[in-house]
Amino acid sequence: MRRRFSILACALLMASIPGRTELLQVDLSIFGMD
Amino acid sequence: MTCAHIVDVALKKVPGVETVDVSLNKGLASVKLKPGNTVSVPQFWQLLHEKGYTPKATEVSVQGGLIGEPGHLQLNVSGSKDVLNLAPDPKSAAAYNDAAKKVGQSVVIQGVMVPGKDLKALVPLQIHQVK
Repeated sequence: MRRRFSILACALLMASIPGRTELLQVDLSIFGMD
Repeated sequence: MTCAHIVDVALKKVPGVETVDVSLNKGLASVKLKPGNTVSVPQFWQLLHEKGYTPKATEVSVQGGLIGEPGHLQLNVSGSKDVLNLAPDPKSAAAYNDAAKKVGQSVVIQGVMVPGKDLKALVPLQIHQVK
């Protein structure tokens, strides 16, 4: 029970940490493509 | 095999890529990424260079935590020492000021990254919009 609570608390903490940088979308301009 | 197909296949092989849409007319490859990806923009630039193409200005939409202070804003990468430097865009300076008010928050930033001579180098992201 205590172990489950620890895992849950850890998961919640990880999810709540701001600062995770993640690319959502990238539009690449490319020269030389024909 | 067409150029568009070569670019399409190469980009789809990158782990974390969800969809790729290549437009020959626009000279543009739009890449949507999966949640939890660890891809960086220079990775795409290097890949295109390896395939014989020259990457240009890249529109980027990125999520992260804002740190720093006005004049030295950064987007934090948790669990590593990586940070993305943020710069004002001369055309939309207000967006940078908006970002400065949101330090400490998790935000989505849209902006442009322009590759330098060293494609591996992480260049500053010029902010267009902050959500």
